[in-house]
Amino acid sequence: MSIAKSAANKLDWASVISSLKLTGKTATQLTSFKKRNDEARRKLLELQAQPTAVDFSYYRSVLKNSEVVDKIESFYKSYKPVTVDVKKQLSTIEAFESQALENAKETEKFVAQELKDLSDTLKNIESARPFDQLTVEELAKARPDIDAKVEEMVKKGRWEVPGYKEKFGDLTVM
Amino acid sequence: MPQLVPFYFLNQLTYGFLLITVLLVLFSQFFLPRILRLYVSRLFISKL
Amino acid sequence: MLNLLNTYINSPLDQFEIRVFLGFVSPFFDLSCLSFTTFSLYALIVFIVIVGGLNLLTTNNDKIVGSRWYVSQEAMYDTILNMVKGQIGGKYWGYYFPLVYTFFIFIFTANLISMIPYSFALSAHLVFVVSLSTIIWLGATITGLYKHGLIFFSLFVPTGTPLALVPLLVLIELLSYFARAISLGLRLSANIIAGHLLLLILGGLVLSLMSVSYIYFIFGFIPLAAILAILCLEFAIAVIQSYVWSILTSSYLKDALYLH
Repeated sequence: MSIAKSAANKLDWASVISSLKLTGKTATQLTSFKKRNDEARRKLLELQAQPTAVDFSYYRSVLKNSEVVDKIESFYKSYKPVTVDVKKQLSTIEAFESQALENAKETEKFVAQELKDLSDTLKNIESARPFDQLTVEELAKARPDIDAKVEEMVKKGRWEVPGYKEKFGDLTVM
Repeated sequence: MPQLVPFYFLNQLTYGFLLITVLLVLFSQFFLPRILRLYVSRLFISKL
Repeated sequence: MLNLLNTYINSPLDQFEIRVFLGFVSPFFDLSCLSFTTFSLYALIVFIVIVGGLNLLTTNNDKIVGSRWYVSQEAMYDTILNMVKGQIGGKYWGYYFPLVYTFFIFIFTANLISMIPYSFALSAHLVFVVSLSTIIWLGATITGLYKHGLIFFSLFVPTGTPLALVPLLVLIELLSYFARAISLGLRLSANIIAGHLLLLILGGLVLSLMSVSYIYFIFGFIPLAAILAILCLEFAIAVIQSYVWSILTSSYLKDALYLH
């Protein structure tokens, strides 16, 4: 517990947020978590600052009904603060942490793959020849669905490409 | 009229319908689908 | 009949004459239908021009962006597509597009090749062209009967006919329907025959006029100009007739498919 406390005390939230360069939902989640943490710490400090000892002899001298005071005193004496077993929670948090790490790793891998794809596409775009040198054969090789579409259209007797006329005009002579 | 000499009727029909049949097969299987494919590719590229 | 060395045209009808270039002989079968004749030669030329010239060489190098030369292909495709779609329509027009396109391109090419001087007109041969049109008509009729059964005969009763006139009108409609088989081919063949004969006869007349003397030679250019105009008209007829054939084929198919 004390380790966790010291760690929480040492945590520099601003640097965490700025170094992770997080945006959007994750960032807001993190700031809300930080707010909760701050609140809890403030409450703890407040509670620690409050005096805990109760002067029962004073109450006994003031109040006539000393029986009540005796009762309260006995209650007070018998009261012991509940010690919360945080071990379980800690283990849960640890498990969650490992899970989150795994997730993060996966995300990283995914992002890396996407970045590679994007750079490939960029390379393609950069190395692509202009439209007037592009052949139908190359396009059909890159996108086999074009040939499949043509075959299906021919089979169904649809010789007109919908939307073609509007885009490229009509060369009808008569 | 020379084109009405019956001797050549079957000859004309043989070669004429052979030509039409071969053309029909070639057009419906190869030449027209190629133009259609060109049109589909053009539309595909313009939509990228 | 086989008169290959005499290149001088004796009769205006000589241009339609069919000659045997290569015959096949068998003691058992009559192979005359397979002999390689003028008709076969020009069928082969038309085939080579259509397949080789218009399709294998005119591929635009497979490029996506069209070229000026390739516009011819696209224009023909679009024209026939719109014509078939406008004539037949409905949901079946696409199935008949390659057929009509083939007819158009064949007649178009054959007609234009026949406009080369001293060449041969495939579409001027009534036997072949009328057979073709009869087969189209027969095919359309069979399609209609197959699709609609006996309802197909409602084609012969125009809508809104008084009952008393129905027998007469059915007779007339039936007659006109049967006439389609002949008229489709006759229209094309007669136009081509008439055009070629006219040009040849007028040309022969102007030739003999201009060969009389120098003065006639100079004045002969006036009728020659008229022949040139007729020649342009013949080119237009060659193109228009192929279009008319395609449009009528589509319209007959539409009648059979949708009954009016």
